[in-house]
Amino acid sequence: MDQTLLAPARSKLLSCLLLFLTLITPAREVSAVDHWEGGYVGSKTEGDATTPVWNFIKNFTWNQYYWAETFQFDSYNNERVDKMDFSYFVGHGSPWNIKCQTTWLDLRTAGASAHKGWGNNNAEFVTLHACNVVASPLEVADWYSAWTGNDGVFDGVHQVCGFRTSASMSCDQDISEYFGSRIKAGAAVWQAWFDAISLYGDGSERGAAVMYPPCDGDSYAVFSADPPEEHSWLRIWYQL
Amino acid sequence: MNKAITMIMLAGISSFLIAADPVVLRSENLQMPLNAVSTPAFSNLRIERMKTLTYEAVPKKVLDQQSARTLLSGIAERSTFKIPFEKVEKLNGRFIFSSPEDPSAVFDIDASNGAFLLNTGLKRYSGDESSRNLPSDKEAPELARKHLINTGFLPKNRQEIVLAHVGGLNMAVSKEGRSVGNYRKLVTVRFNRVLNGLTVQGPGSKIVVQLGQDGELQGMIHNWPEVRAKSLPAAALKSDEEIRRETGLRLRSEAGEAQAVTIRSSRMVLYDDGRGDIEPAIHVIADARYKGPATKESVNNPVDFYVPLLKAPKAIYPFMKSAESKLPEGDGRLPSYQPSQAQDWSDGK
Repeated sequence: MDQTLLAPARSKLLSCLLLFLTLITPAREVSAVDHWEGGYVGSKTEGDATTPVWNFIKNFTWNQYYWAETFQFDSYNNERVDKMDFSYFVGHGSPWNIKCQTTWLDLRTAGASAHKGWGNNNAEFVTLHACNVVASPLEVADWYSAWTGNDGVFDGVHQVCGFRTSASMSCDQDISEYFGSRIKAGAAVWQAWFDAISLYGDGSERGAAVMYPPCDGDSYAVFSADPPEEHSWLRIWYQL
Repeated sequence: MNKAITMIMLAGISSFLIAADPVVLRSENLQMPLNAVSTPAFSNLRIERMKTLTYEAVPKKVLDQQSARTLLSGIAERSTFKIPFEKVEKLNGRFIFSSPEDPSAVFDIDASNGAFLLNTGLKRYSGDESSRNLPSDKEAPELARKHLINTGFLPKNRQEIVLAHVGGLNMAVSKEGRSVGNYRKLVTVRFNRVLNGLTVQGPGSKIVVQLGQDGELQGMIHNWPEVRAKSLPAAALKSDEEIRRETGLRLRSEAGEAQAVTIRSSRMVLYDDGRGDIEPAIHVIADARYKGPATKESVNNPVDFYVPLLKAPKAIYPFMKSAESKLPEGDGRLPSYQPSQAQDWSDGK
């Protein structure tokens, strides 16, 4: 039989099947994807970094919720960021740098201590909700070495999400709240991050996310095997 | 300290009102007479006030799961995506349709107002290659409008919709210390809303169209309620003095620790809270420079905020949500931050 005649029939059949499934399947309350989550507030005094962190972690039965300190990300990370499955930081930023209260942390060397970087212990996903931290090829040709260098933080972590541009402070609470709700619902991680920015951002900020390429399709519900601690294979997705 | 803050307030207001060159707020230029910056500013504000309206979304029938599914099916029939979205969940008044075969695919619709986000999935775009036949930046806006017409989501009042940005989504790969590819994946077209000459900002009133290979509709954000205007009695608006005071307080709260603050822009807009209320507000953007990391003398971390013009705003502004959040704990590992509740959660749950 002519395949072109079959195509509309198949499409109609599929539509009917989906409608039938919709009618017989009541919407469930969202299934809880909840592992270990940590929230880290970068500043007590420079704007409200508290609410966006809270709006993310309140979606979960979170495990850590602290004023950010540099040791949580470097020398003591096995008990903080690298003990969590999903960490969320909000504060000031600069390429590969985040500000914890008054002290800047250089992510290019944050993996130099005995605790190494992130992922050698437990971490899968880290979001750095701060201006300019995740530089893309549009900002610098070598956007990758800082993450995977000997002292970098990519030691098994799957994805790091952030911004390649400034991040609007008037939108951050809504972005993090929506992002948290999608992550809890089992959405793909960096893709939900970009959805949240597109949906709640003011149109000026642009997201970026770096990852070990086989982890590209990870969700918080289903994620791939941990990357090796030592690798130099990286992918970045970035908004224009 | 108090004197400096007062001057910041006035300089901030002057920039917003007279739209002059940016005002850099350093100690040496905080000495200008108060009336020198305030007088021209407030005459402009009065002109803007004359055309100030507020808007309310026209209520819509609350969607049930079946009508949400029908809406999604309608978009699918007029597009080319094949994702079945067989899984449905309810969350915070939204229906979330998703598909286990691609967790990046989602149709997330607010049952109360029909605002939705559609992402038809990025799995098929994850290869190390550029998408074929992506539209150019010049072609994209017209193509996006065609998709809006085809799906029935182009706003009825065409005067309200304005092109805001043409961007996109790229992916790059590095391996063994060198870049091995940089690929174009999607083209993004963003539309803003203009009502009575004022740009609408905030969570509501936006349309975003994502265009994929061969110009197909890859995704859409549609949050565009029908609205009706209401005039505002003069008494409903804050006085110049109140706006000045509030702007200064907010600037101090957002950027008070900065080494220098430059007002980049501040303008009257309409703020759409995404819940049905659209109100006039001042949107202030300031460049706040802080002491930088070791390699930099200083870094610019812009701050932005809204100052409602209404004495009793109905809209929910971002700063109003702060009261709902819980404060974090000091991390007991360091003595510098005395933990109020010295609890270590590292044992997990």
